[in-house]
Amino acid sequence: MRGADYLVKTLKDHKVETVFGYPGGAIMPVYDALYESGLRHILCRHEQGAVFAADGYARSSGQLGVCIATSGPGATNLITGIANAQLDSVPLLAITGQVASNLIGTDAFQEIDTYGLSLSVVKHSYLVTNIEDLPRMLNEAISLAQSGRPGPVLIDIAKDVQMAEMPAATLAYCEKSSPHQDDHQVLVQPSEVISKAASLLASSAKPLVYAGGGVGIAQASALLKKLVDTFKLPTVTTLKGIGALASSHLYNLGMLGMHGTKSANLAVQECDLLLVLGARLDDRATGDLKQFAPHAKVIHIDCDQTEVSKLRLADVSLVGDMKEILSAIIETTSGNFIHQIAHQWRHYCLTNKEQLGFRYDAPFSTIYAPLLLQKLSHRFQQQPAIVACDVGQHQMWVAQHMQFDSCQHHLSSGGLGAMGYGLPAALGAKLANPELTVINVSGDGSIMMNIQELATLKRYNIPVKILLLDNQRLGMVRQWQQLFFEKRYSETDLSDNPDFTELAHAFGIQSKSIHLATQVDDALDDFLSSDKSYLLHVAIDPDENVWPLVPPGKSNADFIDDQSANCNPSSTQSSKGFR
Amino acid sequence: MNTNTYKVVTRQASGTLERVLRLVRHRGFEVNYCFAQGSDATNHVEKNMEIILQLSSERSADNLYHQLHKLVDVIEVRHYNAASIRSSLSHE
Repeated sequence: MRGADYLVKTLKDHKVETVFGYPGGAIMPVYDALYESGLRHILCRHEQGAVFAADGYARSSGQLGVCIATSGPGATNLITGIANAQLDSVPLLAITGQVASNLIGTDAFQEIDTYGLSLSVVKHSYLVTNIEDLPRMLNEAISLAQSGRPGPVLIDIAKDVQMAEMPAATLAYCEKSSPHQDDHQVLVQPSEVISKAASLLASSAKPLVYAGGGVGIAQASALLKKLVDTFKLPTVTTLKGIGALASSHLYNLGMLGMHGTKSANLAVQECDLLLVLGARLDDRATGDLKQFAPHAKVIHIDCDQTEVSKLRLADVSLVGDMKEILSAIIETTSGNFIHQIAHQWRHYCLTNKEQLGFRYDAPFSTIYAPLLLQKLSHRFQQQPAIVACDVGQHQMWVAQHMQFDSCQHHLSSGGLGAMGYGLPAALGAKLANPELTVINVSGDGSIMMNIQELATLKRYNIPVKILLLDNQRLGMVRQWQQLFFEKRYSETDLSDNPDFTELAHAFGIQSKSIHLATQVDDALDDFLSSDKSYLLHVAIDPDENVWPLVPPGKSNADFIDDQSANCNPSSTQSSKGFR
Repeated sequence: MNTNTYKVVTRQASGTLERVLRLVRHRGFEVNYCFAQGSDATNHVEKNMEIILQLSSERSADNLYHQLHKLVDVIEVRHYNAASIRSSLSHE
């Protein structure tokens, strides 16, 4: 058995069913082994498309995402997607071909130091220059990507290793040994620490849950709901935490942070206890850290010790399996919690949620994107859909105006903020979840970053829906230029965009364009009823901005909001302090 | 600027030293002193490497300790600040 055959066999042994990639010289033995292997390979049209597709596949299914590329440019094109998986803790295996081991370090054709390049963007990486190392390294890579805090692992395999015969003795030795697991974070919580957390929770007058993406990754959403229901805890989520608690849940105040809801940000500023679950207190979520949750004690629960007290000192830290920790806290706190203490607090949070919510009463004839997304979301109240975003204004509108009941249904490039993520991620998600509707909500800037993946949709007849919100601008950058750079609109005008419907047609994708509010309902009917890929192009107002907005470096309490400029002026809102 | 000393024991995999130093740089620490030595391999026992680092930074030494420990090839991290070294010397 050649090294390349062993690679394919091992992937199949680990229940990998689909891989994404792009062939090239140094990875040819692996592509030869894939031929007639029964392992489904999706040929994307760019390595970045392949790695984002693997990411979408992994996020939406909880399974390992696998992507394959050749050396040199193939590997460099993967890097953005690997970094994306690293910052958002996505289990990903990136396999790259490398020039033959005797040529490494000679500046051979398509040779770069992929291993060296990977160091800052992976959970771990390997360079295989000896066939005898391949089984251990490959099995370790697969295990590490999925254990502990998930993340991307890269394995760079020299071409001669791919072609070399695997020694029987090596195989026999490896089959007996179990691969190295990521057990750094598996700790047993002492009961006194659980008791301390329970005591803080029980004595708090203004407790607040801060749920991050780690809740979904730990599959702890049901326990989060139990915690919230049992103690009637107001809850805010991060961008990646959207769906950890159903958006429709009474106590879900929405997303916090730079474009968070007013009720979420006000609650964070007023709470006296912050229960942080699987979150890393990213600057886009906290605003000015010195002014973040100024009155709160912090209980921080995470599987990764490095995230606890990294930016905000935790009064109690619990590192380990979130399900075990939440179960223990619920059990220990039950009976001690005095609901009456927090009654006023709950009333304050829920009143803010009701009175300071988003408005959709735009009186204009043009299409108001938040209202469009709210309407789209309402279509999926019975049967959930997966939405994969790109990055920019539309990404924040999705986070604000669409409803989710699972983290696996909201795919967004959170940490890296990589434009071009959405279309390939949606493609991967649809392959992992063929029974669900999968929608890519994109912008006219982002879609062009990986537009070539329309060809992949067509090639494999993958029925992904693309909702393209086109303001002919790099909208989020333009918004900042308008607000913080004296309206000096440097390089954000995209009014010379191609005709997106014609472009879609050229790829063999159905498409339609709308620009009036009165066209929305019928267009959504067509968009969702089609059983094929469909691009709905929606022209929106270039002056439309994302509100509220916490200016950079400010406290989350200092949000600004100009949404009323686009809404019916007959009704007004005002924020209220907690009394 | 605080100065701290770390002893890091790693699996002696290719690139481990590079990984440790990259982490130290990226997390905002300056290297004042670095010493690294591989252990002799014995039959079927993995080779290790011991790295001694003296680092300066305004950043949290505890955070760096945990970040070093998180590296897959790192087996053990010991952290010594001036107080712990003085305490250790006074007990000798």
